[in-house]
Amino acid sequence: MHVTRRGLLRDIGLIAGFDLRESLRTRRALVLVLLYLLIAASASGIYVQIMAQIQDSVATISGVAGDPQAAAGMAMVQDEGYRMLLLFFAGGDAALADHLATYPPMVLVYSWISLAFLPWFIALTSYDLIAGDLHLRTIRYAALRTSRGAFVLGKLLGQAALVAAVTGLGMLPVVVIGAIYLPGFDFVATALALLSTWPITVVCALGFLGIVTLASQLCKGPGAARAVAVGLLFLIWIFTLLPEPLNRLELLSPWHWKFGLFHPAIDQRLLAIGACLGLCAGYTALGYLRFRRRDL
Amino acid sequence: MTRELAVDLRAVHKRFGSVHALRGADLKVPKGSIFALIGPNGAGKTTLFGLCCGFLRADTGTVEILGGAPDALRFKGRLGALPQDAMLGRDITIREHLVFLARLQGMELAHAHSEAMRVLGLVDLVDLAERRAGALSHGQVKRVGVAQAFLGEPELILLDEPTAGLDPRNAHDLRALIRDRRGRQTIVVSSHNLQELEAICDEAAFIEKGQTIEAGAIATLTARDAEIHVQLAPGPEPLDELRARVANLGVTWDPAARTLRLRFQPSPERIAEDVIAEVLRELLAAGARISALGKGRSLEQRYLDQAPATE
Repeated sequence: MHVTRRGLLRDIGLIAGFDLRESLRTRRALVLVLLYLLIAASASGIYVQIMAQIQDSVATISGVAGDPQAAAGMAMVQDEGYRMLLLFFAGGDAALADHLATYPPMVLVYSWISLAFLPWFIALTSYDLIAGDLHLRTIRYAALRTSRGAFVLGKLLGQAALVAAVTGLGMLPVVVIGAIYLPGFDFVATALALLSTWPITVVCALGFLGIVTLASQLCKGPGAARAVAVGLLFLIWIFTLLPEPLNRLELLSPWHWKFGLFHPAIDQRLLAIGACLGLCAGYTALGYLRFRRRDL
Repeated sequence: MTRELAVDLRAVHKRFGSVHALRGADLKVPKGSIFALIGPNGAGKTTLFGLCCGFLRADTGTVEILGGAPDALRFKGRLGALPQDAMLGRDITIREHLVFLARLQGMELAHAHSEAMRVLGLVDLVDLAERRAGALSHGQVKRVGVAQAFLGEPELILLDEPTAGLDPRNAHDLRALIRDRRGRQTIVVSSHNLQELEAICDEAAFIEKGQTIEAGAIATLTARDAEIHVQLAPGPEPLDELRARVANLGVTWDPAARTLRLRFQPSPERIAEDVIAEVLRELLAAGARISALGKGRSLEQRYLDQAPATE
């Protein structure tokens, strides 16, 4: 029987759909959403607190001085400080820093915290992507009917869809908390900015999902898969801290590319997108080299 | 005449670390047969199934299933299996599981739904179609496992201990289901219940310590055409008369069971029924009283006879 590429894509879709359905039924998806909402609410809460303190400071200074010029001067200092902060995060790339400045600050804070937590969140929630099925031998029912490659890609797609949904829902607390606690909160601008950062978060998450998929294909037990996933993430995070010439290794880290995903220059942004997708594919393929030969 | 084979394993070795699970095992399963895989725990039966399905890779040797190497894409819809100890997702209904697996075999949604209900009917689980797999009993889970193996009526079905954990009624129905497929599908069954295998299978292989000890037609293995046994009631034991009057007959007497075991060389001129008539005539003439009569020996007896020799 000739198996077409369309047939393989169909199998990948079926496995992804079944995986998602299982996540919903087991309430795994609900737990993920709640965890992520907690992260998003915390990020938004921190931002609201910082803003409130800054506004209090400005009011105090300008009130004591009774001088509008002092308030304007303080605002300038704040703007300059904010720009320097963005420049720092942008790794000295002025164009990127200027572009980041166009986002509502609350969206940037949420995105930054989200991208900081996401790799560990993925490692701790998706580690059993393949290893769980190997452990329970559930995989044997599917392995008789489709290729191991389709199985891995289907599982990866299912998890990617879940991460996309979870990070999408994570935007809700940002706009809700902002609307309630921030005076003069621009709901539409914030919502649109959040929507524009959503694909960036998902693409970056794919890079980390590739690392977790690698770990899950290497191990037969979920416990071992979790340990290996966290260990690999830690190793890859260390890549970003190495001195020259070892710092070239940071190219293998999705962390290295996450700033590029925000870059205003389309070539820089495409490079970062390509790198994250390439890392996802590369790490998944690396695990598959073992998985395709292993006993199920 | 060479028979077409559904399963052809030659000199297969498989190790799991320090455990040498298969040590040059051979297995030839003719197409259309109901084939029994017999052996003690740890003999390598489940490993053989795993190799046939492509779950495991042989270290050395040749594995040909349905005319080629194990390959899930080639097997799609052609091979069904009940894998031992494989679990179903606890929170998914059994209908959803079966529809998913049927669709993976290539069926469209509507066909997959009807096929799922059909196979649930085969194992009498239609009423539980909407029940979550996690809420099923052990026996019901086993029946769902059997049902998925029959999705799409594949050419070859491998059933690893299909009746283990089933109640007598369901075990009986499953045997009938398997028997009903004779000649249409190839079914390989492993079980510790040798009476069951003898009742439903055409051929068998004895596996011991990772090797195929013996294989062939059930009738040959049980010597159904070359051996008869007669149980005598208390009374005369005319063994000498029998040896003297019936030619070319190997006679052994088990005094504890009061059973005569009579071996002969069958031929077109002298089939088992002719020998039975001859033996009965002589025994009755000598005043013996006959309690029971049978052809060959049970598969279980045959297995027990050969098992010590492999120690």
